[in-house]
Amino acid sequence: MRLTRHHILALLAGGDAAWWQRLSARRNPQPEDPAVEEEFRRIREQLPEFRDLPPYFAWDSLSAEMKGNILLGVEAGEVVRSRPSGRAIGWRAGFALAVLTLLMLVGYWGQLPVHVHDSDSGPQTPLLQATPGQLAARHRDAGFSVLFHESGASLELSGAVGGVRADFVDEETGQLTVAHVYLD
Amino acid sequence: MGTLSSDLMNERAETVSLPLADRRSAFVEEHLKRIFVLVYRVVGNVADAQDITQEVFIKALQREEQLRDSARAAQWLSRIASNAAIDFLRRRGRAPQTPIEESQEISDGSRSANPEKLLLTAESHQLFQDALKSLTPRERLALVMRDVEGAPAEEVAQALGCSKATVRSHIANARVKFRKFLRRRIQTVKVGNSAPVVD
Repeated sequence: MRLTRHHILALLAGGDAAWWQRLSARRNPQPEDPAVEEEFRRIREQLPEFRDLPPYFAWDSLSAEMKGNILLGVEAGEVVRSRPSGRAIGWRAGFALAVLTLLMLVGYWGQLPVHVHDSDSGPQTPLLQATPGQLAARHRDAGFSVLFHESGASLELSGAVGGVRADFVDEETGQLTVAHVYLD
Repeated sequence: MGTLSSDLMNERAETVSLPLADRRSAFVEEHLKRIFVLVYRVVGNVADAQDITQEVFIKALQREEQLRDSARAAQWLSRIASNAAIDFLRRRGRAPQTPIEESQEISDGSRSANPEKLLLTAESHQLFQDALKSLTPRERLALVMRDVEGAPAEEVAQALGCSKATVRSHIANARVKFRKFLRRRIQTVKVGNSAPVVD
């Protein structure tokens, strides 16, 4: 906001003008400036009189009422705040509880019977798998696959006897490749 | 005999060692009037000023860690009170202010005072309150804090949450509007006095 000359004089009267405002006021003085600044100063000097309430104000009873309400309000707030959360546990108690829980879990897992799960040794029954991209047979640790370069939905036969077939057509050459795997 | 600073330190140490309820009570006692007057000057009526002041103190006492340093607590309290008063006026919109109901606020002690002096005081306070109504809430706060309370511009800026340059602008506006209001009032009185009296 751009301040007018009167705004700057008002600031000068209270000693609030910035240096550039003081400079601009002193550079182009107007004849009425001293009177206006003096008027602002006189008004300002009277204002601290209103720091206090007027003498007819019933401050004693009002302040007693407010003080009572404030202290009651603070206490009521504390009661409301403390109710839902209950008593909080300290960090030491929390830490001890966490360690105890961990020990119990370790003990529980230690008691469980060891279950040998030979998941890495491959399927227990022969598995045949045919996808548009590959044909594969696996049994226990052994297996083989015929790979094409595409991938897609697959057909899996587990524990079957017989064979699976997969056809592959090369889009560039039109050449058809048929792969047939038999399982005895 | 102790020095002034050691006396102050002793006093502070006594305050700190007081029980919580007494410390709260002392804190309210120390700042209540200043904060109430500040809020009252901004909102313009006793009932609202009372409610806002109570809310401000309850909020402040709920965060007692902010109140350990007395000087900073006073500034912090002024800031909460300023924000609360401005928020209140913003929520209420620009509805006309309710004038002070003088009859309800006359204290028993004032009955013995000089009625003429009392009237003059009442008139000047009413005039001041009317003049404040011609300002925006932020200008009101800036004028009350800077010119009535004598707070430095930095503190006003902190209370209003704005820069010192903005505060300067608020103060300048407030003083210009205030002077304009008083000049208009004086002119009205002059015209009223010079009007012909009809029998």
